[in-house]
Amino acid sequence: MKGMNNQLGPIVLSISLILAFFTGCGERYPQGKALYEAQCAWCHMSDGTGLEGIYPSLVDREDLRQQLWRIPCAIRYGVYDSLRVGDDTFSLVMMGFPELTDAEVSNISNYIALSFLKLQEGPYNERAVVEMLKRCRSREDTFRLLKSKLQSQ
Amino acid sequence: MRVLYRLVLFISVTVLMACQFSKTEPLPYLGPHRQVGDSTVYYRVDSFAFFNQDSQLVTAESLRGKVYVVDFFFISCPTICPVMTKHMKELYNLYKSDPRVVLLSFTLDPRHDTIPRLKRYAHKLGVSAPKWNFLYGKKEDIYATAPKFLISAAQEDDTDPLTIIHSGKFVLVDGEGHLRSYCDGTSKEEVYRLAEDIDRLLDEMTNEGHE
Ligand code: HEC
Repeated sequence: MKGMNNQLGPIVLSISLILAFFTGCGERYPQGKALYEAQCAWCHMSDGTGLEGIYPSLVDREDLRQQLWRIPCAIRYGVYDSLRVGDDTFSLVMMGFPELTDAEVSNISNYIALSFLKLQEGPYNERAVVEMLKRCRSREDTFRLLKSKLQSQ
Repeated sequence: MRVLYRLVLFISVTVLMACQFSKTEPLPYLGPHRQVGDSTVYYRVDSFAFFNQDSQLVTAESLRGKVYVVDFFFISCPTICPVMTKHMKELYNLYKSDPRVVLLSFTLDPRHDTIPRLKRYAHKLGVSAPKWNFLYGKKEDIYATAPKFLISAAQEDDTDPLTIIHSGKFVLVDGEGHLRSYCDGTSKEEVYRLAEDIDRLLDEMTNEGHE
């Protein structure tokens, strides 16, 4: 029995090291991950796969890889592609998160880029994010309108 | 080493026996019991009637003989509902071809989740009745129904008009309206355990049918 224990030691040690590597410790954007879990995972799920037909998956999205600005834009101002004229259900749009700072937006975006889009490097820094957000400032009006409608309902 | 082998043998036999045992053990009956003479009367969900997304009436009576899973949700729910719905959809896919299994999702927000919107939601999700019923009714009726499934009554949070606090439980009901199992609908592992309980209920029904 004693011999068994001696053999088990190194095995247990290597398993713990491997586990430590694959969880937490290897995380490059811990704040991005924490914010994603707290704000986004409700709809897009922890693994980014979303809910088919209702909340889009973020995994392996070639369109998001090609148009990197769409992630920070979604976070700051929301996404209203599925909004129809005369439609008063807001259930299938995504409201923005204007309270998140540029740095937080860039951390979440990098977390998504590495974990779900499988990019090797995080393409977002604060400066780049500020530039990208200029492309979708017009969504701000939609966000404000919907927010006030939702609150008056 | 001899001792070790014996130990391993002993453990395997015990585990094997435990598995056999748990397989044949019937699912418990949840809720208050009553003793009437020699027999025990188990709690059952006796009455409710709501419209589904196809405007068809779904009642406790119409579900007799079906095994059904219940949850409470609302479409615009920003927190636990999406993952519950995702797990419900896994149950939907698992039991797609077995008409004995039915899923019920009661909306807690009938003011916004009207029948046409529930229909659109189900359609987008790629699911349909009679397998998966999105149930609509008067708000007070829905809120009075949750406790019948022994789920903590859902309540609206007065401080924020957009949030409704509610239970993320899935409840499993048998063909006679007895509550037989429940789980945390936000946990994938627990939902798969519930699926095993569904299988046990289905076995139970099959065996009763043969008697
Ligand atoms: C309440 C549910 C919900 C939450 C929470 C949510 N999203 Fe979304 N998200 C959606 C929906 C719905 C859409 C699609 C909207 C549409 O097509 O109109 C979407 C779309 C997106 C898109 C695609 C944008 C595009 O241009 O196609 C990205 C990226 C995204 N979300 C990221 C996030 C991030 C990051 C967070 C957290 C900060 C988040 N979402 C939180 C529901 C949500």
